[in-house]
Amino acid sequence: MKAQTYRSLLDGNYICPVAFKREYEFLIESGNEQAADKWLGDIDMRLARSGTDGAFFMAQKLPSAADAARIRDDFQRYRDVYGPAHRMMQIIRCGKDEFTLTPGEYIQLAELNQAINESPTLESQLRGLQTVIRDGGAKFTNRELLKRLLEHLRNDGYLVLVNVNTEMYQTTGKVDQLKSVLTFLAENTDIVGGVTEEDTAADISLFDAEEPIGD
Amino acid sequence: MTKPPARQESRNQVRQILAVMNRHGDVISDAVDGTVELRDAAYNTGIDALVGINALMPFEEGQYQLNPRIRSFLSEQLAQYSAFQALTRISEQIRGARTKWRELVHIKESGDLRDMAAIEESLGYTVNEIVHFTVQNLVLLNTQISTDYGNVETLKAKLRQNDFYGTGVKNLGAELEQLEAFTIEIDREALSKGLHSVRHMVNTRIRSRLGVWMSRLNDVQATISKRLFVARKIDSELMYLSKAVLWLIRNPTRNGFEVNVDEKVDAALLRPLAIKVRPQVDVSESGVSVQEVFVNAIQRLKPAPNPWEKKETVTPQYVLSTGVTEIVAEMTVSDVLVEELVDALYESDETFLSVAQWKPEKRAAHAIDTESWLLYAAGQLHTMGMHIEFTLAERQGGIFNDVFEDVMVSLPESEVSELEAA
Repeated sequence: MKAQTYRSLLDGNYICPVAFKREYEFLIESGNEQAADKWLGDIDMRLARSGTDGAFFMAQKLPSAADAARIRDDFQRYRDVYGPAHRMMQIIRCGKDEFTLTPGEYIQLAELNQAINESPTLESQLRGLQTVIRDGGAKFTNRELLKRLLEHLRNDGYLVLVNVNTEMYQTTGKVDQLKSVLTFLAENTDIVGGVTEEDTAADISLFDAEEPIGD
Repeated sequence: MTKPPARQESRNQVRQILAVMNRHGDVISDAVDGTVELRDAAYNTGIDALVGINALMPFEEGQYQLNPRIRSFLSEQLAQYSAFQALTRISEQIRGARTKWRELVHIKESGDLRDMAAIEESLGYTVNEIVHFTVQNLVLLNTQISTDYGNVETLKAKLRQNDFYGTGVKNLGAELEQLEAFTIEIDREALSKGLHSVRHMVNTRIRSRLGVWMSRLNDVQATISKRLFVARKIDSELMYLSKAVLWLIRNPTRNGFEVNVDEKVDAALLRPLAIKVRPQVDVSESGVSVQEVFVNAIQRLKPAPNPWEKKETVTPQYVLSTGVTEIVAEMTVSDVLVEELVDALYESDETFLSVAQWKPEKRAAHAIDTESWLLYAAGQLHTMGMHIEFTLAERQGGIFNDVFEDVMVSLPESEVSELEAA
């Protein structure tokens, strides 16, 4: 188990309870985390973790100037590096109200497909992604396109397929990385202005749904 | 069909206006974002020219703004909407269309059909306007909602915008109902008045699409009424997600951001790069499995270069002559004999020469038997144009073919007469 865990770390995987259950369980056993950190330390790496209970992954022991340059480059090419995943996650969020971009959430293709078919707004958003999704294209139906979207995210390690028959997917610990990127963008660029407590507390009457138009 | 001269004239003007806008495209693209100010001489010329065709309008001293119609055209094109951008009302167009329709009915009833085509065309334009505005309104609503009203920063402004668009949707819905009533009216009346082309136009361009528009509008309304609730409970990270995605959509030409990253950066931002682990074989070991690995490795190697291999040196080539040597075909003995026979014919006084008697020694020396010689020479002489005559042997009983023993050759008659004349 130890060898398998270390191999997974070296492969650049995020060891979370969803995608790498046994490896994760090995690492949280007493002493194993420190041992792995020490083992990685010998090759100038360390065992990092997103948050206090997130996924384990391998990181640089001392980030160098080259690493900073790599991050800078990633953000310069944001559209290609993180853009696709962010846009796809946004579609999932719009189609599934309770989705919060945290590890371990379940996404069912059929449910998402229904939400998208019911809303022309969402459908047009999905169609806008057809060139971004791997192997996507205008010829596919919404369902096929959506399936490809989820498979794209699965291949990139953000989702795992938990039930083949029901086409149920689950988010992995890697989505925390997407959130770190968003937080960094919010703090370092002017595209995302934060929401203050005062704003959320504002009391404004909700706009009530009227009778459907055109009946 | 040639256009009337008046239209030709206005088409030339259109071309000129577009040419001016094309020439000063940089000024226009600056003006999309706000006001433009006088700068250097070339830029000022552009501003002057654009003011001349009303594409720019003076705003304040030395400041100019884009013609609002051009601005709205461009923002529709780029799907970039300003905050609280109002939906385009179509009541006016519906009223206009209704008036034109009444006029058409009147013309049809009075029987004076002179202006009919012009009014029908004008009604067509109005219908197109209605279709265009409605589609644009729906696109605007979809963009605003799918980007969570991303063009304003605070939640308060978002909520106000939500309210604003809620009202807009209600108005648009009412207008669509008006439009539906109008199309139903045309549908009924046109049949009785015999205005089939108008009925067809309205039905295909508007009525067939009304259902889709209504359903999209309903969807927008449902989203708007749900949106506030969602906006309130939304996580800051999800808000960032919406905004990042909005940024991607609104800036289709930009790829990313310039950020300052110091070396004490969060490890989470650095995607871990896989370190490939590949086992190597200890060459000092021995054993079957190690041997196998070696054999495989050796087989994968490229063949070693051979140091003793001689390379052929390439010598430069020169052209010595470009003339063509003529190769004369060597004549066989039989051919020489035939030639000599013909020469002899010309020279001798005898009219006939016997081919079988011709130089038997020479033939014997080259082992040419008489039979082959006769056959060959007769054929050759015949093709050369000589006159040949077969000397037949006496026919024997039981053999039905003629057998010849000799061939007598003579000059052709034409040449004989020539020689005689000479």
